[in-house]
Amino acid sequence: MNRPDTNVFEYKCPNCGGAVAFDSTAQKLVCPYCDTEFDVGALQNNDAALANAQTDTDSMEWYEAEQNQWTEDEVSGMRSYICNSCGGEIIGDANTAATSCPFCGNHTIMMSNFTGSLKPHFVIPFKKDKEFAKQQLLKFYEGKKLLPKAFKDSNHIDEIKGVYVPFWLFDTTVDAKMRFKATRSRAWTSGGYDYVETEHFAIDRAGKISFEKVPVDGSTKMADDMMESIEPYDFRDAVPFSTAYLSGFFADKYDVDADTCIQRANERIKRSAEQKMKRTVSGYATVTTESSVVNFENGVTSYAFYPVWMLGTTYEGKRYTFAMNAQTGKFVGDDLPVDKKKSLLYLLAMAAGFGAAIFAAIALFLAI
Amino acid sequence: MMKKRLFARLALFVWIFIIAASLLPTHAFAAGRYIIADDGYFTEEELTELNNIAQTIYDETGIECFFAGTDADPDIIDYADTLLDSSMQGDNGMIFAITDSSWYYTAMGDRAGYLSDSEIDEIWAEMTAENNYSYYDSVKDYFQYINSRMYAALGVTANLSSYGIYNGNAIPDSRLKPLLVDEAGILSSDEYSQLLAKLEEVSERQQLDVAVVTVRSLSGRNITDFTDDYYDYNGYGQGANRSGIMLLLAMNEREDHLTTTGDAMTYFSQEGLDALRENIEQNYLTNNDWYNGFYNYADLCEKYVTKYHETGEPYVLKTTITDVLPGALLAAVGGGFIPAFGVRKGMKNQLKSVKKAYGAEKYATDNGVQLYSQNDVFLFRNVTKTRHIEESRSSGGGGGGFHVSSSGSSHGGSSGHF
Repeated sequence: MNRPDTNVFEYKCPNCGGAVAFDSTAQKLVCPYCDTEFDVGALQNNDAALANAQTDTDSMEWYEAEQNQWTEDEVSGMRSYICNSCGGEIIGDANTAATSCPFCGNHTIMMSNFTGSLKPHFVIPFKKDKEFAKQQLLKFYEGKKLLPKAFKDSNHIDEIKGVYVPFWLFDTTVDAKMRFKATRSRAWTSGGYDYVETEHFAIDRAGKISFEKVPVDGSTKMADDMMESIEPYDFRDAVPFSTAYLSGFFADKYDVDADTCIQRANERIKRSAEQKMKRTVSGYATVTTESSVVNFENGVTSYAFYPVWMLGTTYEGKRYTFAMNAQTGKFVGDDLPVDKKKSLLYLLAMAAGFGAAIFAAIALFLAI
Repeated sequence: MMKKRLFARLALFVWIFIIAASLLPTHAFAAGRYIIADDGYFTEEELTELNNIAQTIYDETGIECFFAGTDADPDIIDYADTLLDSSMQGDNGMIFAITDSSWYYTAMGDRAGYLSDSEIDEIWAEMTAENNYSYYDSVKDYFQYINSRMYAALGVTANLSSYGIYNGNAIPDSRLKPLLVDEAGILSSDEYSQLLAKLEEVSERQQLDVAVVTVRSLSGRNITDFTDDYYDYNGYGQGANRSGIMLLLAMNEREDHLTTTGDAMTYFSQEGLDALRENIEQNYLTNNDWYNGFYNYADLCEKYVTKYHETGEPYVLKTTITDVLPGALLAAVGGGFIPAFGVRKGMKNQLKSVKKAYGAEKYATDNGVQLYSQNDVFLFRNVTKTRHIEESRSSGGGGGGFHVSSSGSSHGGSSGHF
């Protein structure tokens, strides 16, 4: 007895996930669970695309630009300063002495010879000066109504230092393949009934986007979120590195290698790539991302010093650190304290104000 | 010679008699003109009285009302039609004809006083009942119904009280019922007496009947008609215009109606009446607070009338802020804090400036997205169908307006439910 050669192929219903069956009268595929009708071609494409998507995963390749090395002369002209309190290490030229730690404000600093590490490829020189940084700090306090007055008044800057922060910079082109589900609706009323028609679409997009010089802070001592907050840095001001730029300033030593920093760079790049791809889907009421595969191509890593003014102040025993992007002037700082009394007073005053307005609105509404 | 003159005089007398007889109005002789019945239906006295009743009706309303009864078995329709035709002198009349086993009723002209089938059926039932009325009583009922119907149609009725027929539908000259009628029994006797005193006080002061009536059920009748008729036929209202306002509650149906008559129609505009009704409904009736509801109704009526006299314009009750004071204060206090918290949160956020970056937007090159493949594929469509709901009614519900009741008087009104 010959067994018929059965080739059972099941399509999945994009609406409810059930197995779709072919309806010979309708000449269409109909889902027996949710009653939705599909065109054969559409479902085939959908299925094929799903199959492809499953096998794809993100991939990335990075090349490192040739490593730069310090020369003998350069090494002899530099010193290393290590903080006894927090272990932070900064380097500076032999003529610029460090008296306090830019990370923890402690004054017990040890000086030692500079032991070579990676030399940066690029540097963005300091564009804004110390005075500007001080002014920016004052401006930073302005308009913050819940900042305790004492904080502003005891405006004692413990120290202010110009520091080069080591950054790993990443160039790459991403190839992003994404699938979306989108809908379009229209509504009308007729014959005593309200109708809403929703059309469902399967969308796919594939494209390339290039990113340049995405920075990731290569020092554990510099808080990553603070460094990310003073971005962006404009690479157009970057120049090949020379120790001349160091005089009068300090540089933070890198202690996080590129391979680790790549993770962070990839995360940010992937997110931006997905966002940009999603924006190319237009004309729909709703768009939801179904899947995304991002390949990183031609990744190049380089190492740079970016300029930052670091400021520190103490208030009620707590230390507050501020950082200013010395290229753009963007100023950020630790979370400032809240004046609790002022906060409560503002709350009550505003509640009274809004309450009065609501009461008046009710009275007005009734009077009309 | 003497015999000839006597004969001539006699002949002249006979001729004069004949001419006079033919000239005299026939009804003077027609003892049975309106009642055409075989022997055995009525006695002589009954016959005479019934004819007089019919005569009075004709005299006072102009409608000729006949009754025919026969033991023979004619085609009753033909019989009645022919009889009516030949007997009628004017344009408007009706006939009710009966045999052993059937009846027929018809009318000609403008059919004022025309009776309904159910009324005729009732009379027929009396006539054919076991221990029946006499025909005399049934025919008297017939005339009584006609008289009532005529009043409704023409506003005129014949005075048949000397025959023992009293027209229950006449508008009495003075009020037959108190200002507070609690048929449904929702008030205690203390509440009743206090409310009655209040209503009488207000009515006297404002020279306007302010009344409240509660009934158990409308038994299918329309509440507007019911209330208007209750007001009219029980003689409510002061002055020539029978001015007054009445609030009626039908407990089973939980419907209420306000009716205004006479001067009250000027004091209470439609809007004012609706507002008054809604106020009483929402604040008292929906909560089954009858005593306070009626008490406040009386006060509000007084306020409406007083305001009208003060300003010359009908007053409309509005909810003022003092009415909803507790609610408004609560809303103000609670509501005030919500945006206050929001604004304060914003102020606190000013103190934070450090945040991890989400993406690398600023580092994308100017080339942007270079798409090399895009596909938008239609999958399927869904259509949902739901019944269209009109705006739903809250408590109260409109209804009202100018209405002419069965008595012919006009009323303003407002209906609702609680």
